[in-house]
Amino acid sequence: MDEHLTQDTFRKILEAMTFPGKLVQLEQSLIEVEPLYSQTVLLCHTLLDSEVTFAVVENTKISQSLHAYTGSHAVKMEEADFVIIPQNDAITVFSELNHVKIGDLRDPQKSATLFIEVDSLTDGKQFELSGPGIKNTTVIQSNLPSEFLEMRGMLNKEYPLGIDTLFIDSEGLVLALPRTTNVMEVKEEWAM
Amino acid sequence: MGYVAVTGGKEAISASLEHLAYERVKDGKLIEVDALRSTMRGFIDQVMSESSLYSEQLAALAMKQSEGNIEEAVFLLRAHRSTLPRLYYSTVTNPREMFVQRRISASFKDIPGGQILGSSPDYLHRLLDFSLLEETQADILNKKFEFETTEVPEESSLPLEKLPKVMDYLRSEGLIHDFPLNNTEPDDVTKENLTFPSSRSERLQILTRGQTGAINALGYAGLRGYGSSHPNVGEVRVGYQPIHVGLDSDEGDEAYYIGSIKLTEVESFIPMNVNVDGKEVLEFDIGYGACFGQNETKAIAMSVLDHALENPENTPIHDDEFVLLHVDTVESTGFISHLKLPHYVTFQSKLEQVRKIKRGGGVNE
Amino acid sequence: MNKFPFAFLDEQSKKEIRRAILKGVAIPGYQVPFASREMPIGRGWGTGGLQVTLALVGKEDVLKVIDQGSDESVNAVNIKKLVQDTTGIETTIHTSEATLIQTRHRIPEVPLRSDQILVLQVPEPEPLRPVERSEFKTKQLHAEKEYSGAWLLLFEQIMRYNQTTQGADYPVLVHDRYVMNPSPIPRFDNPKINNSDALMLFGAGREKKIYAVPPYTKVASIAFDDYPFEIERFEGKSCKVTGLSNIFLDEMTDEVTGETYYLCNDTSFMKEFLEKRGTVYVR
Repeated sequence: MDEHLTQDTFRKILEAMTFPGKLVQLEQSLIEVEPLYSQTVLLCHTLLDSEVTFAVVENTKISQSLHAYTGSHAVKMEEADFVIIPQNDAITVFSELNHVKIGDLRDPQKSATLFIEVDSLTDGKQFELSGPGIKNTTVIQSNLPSEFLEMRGMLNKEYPLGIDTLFIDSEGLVLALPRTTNVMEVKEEWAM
Repeated sequence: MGYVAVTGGKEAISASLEHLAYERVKDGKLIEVDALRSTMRGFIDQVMSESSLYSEQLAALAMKQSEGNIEEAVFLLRAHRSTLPRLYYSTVTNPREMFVQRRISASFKDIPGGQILGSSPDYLHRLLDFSLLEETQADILNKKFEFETTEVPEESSLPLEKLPKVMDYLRSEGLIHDFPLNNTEPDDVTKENLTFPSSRSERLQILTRGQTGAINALGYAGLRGYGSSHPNVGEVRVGYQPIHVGLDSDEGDEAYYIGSIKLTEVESFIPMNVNVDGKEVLEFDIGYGACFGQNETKAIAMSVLDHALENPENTPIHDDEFVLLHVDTVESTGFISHLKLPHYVTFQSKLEQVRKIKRGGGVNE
Repeated sequence: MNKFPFAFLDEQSKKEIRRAILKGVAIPGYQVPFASREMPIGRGWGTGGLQVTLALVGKEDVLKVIDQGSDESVNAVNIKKLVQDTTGIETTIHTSEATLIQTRHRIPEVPLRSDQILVLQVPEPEPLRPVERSEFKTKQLHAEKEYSGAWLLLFEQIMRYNQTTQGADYPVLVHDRYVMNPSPIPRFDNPKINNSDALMLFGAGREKKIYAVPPYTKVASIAFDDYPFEIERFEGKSCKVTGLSNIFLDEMTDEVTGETYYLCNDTSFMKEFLEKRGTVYVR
């Protein structure tokens, strides 16, 4: 358990959350939990412990390993502080998220943080982002699942309630979307 | 005109710390940590309770380092506690299993197992003993020898680790409100911020680690009329409480004994008017107090406050925010002493305002 | 003397603080509760800011610590020493060289960059505390966005003195949602929080709250239309040494003549200004 590795990882996560849209590169984790990306495991290692709970969508074996490794307890998705969604193309996965914790008005921080694995954060559709941490607007080109963005829009519609998300891709890059970020897909313009 | 910047903060601090270190050694007297541990029980017990860290050795070290300054000693131990990894929680420990050294009740003349006075200053005449000025090592050994060779008095009728609670007697008569067992996991105020309205477990933790003087003062206020609790001390017990740690709660209940700690426990009875099936009945409610070490006054005061906070009313002692936010040694002394820090920027702002107003300044001049 | 983990706190304590920081950044201006461990310096002396710094700090960081604008202030020196003793990192008095800046009661004059993080020490995080004693109630007021108390505070000042007398702790509205206490920085510094290039984190150790304002976030000092927010102006006053008057000044008295004069409050800023100008800086 390397305290410098977790400190370095935390600073990168913080940078990603502070400047949504900015990509950060994480290191390899010291321990692997198949089939999760190494960097997803590193995120868990950095933020999870026995004081918080987590849920892994559709995989109990991962849950057992993460519990053993971090001390954090696996619970139902509606109760989880952290929700982990391994690389998965299934649309149904995102519709299951409609009951994750979004906090309440007195305690909006009692809301879930999502770790979502995608295959690429550098290739794919174009999105325009705006909000705190972004100077005017920024455009990213990433394979963010649109079904998720729809669900996110629904969960985050009553600020300050909502969820915060970290995306991880196969290269170990991370992108953050705190609840304050507005995401708009840039549609292809018709050539005139 | 040359400008001389005000620097040297570092050097000034160094010099101040050197001065402080000198105070402790200027008379050339040595006092060993072991000696403090053996002879300063009162200080050790108070400090362990307020710092919420049970270690007589560390408390004695803190006492030596702080020159007997309780505020400072508690501060040292609490800060040390912050560096220690929290490996386990103990299993639930029941003071019924306490190896009792002292156990009395004010509510009954005699109790099963007897009124065991044990060692307590309660029965002393508080007269300064000037012979202690001349006490020698030999004197100490003699006094020790004399006591240890005295005839052992009649044993208690009941084994000291199995003394029944005085409360059981009232319970058997149905005079105490029966509560279902509450096995909710307690909150841990050192891991999660206190929230209001507070839970009982939060309150008990804050009270037990509260500054002794503060708890006593508020408990006293509660007795004098600022609270509506008129308690009777049902039982005070002081002794050694065995502590077990359960390893891996998922399988079985292997509980490992890790040692015993000195504990003070108080159960107070408070008569209350309760509505049962439309009728006003008098029942006994309970106030609970428990502390590391032998801290009887504090534990009794704690029981008064426990009861008051369980029954919110519009007086300060019954207000959980008022009580719980102001009894912590480290917080209160820290904030009060922070007033000594430079505040000249904010003071300057205020100064400017006051002057402007005195000059009859207009709108946003 | 390596009996403590890097940066004093154990990993679990750091994790809890880190989680609180992340939620703070996601909900700008909202006070996130945290457990707040005891530190080797007193409550009220910057333990909140210190815990944030210790949870952030890495081997490569360069730390600046100031109090009342000065790197030499006893409190700043003490905190800097504690962080240095428990991490071995480099420290600096130059704002532009620092990656982490911990401060009490001032924001540096040198504009911050995106690669820097400012950590402010906060004694009283609750902007509504002067009008509502109860924590239970103020939490509800924030939940309901019920901030008439903050306006009332200013209104009463205007009624009494024909102007707002709130010098420091001047409340701001963050991201059009939460009213926040920016800590006892002078009004002069409030505008620096709005649309900043750098992340600003706020730590209140004794009150056990952490909050954040991300860069490029709207932060507006609250005011009435006919009594707009004004920063301190030092009309007719300038720093005796640099001649500057558009920065925050300290009032001083000449020991010998009894004359009042002014000096730049931000001591490292003044030092850098003088060095650039080629003035000999005598210690």
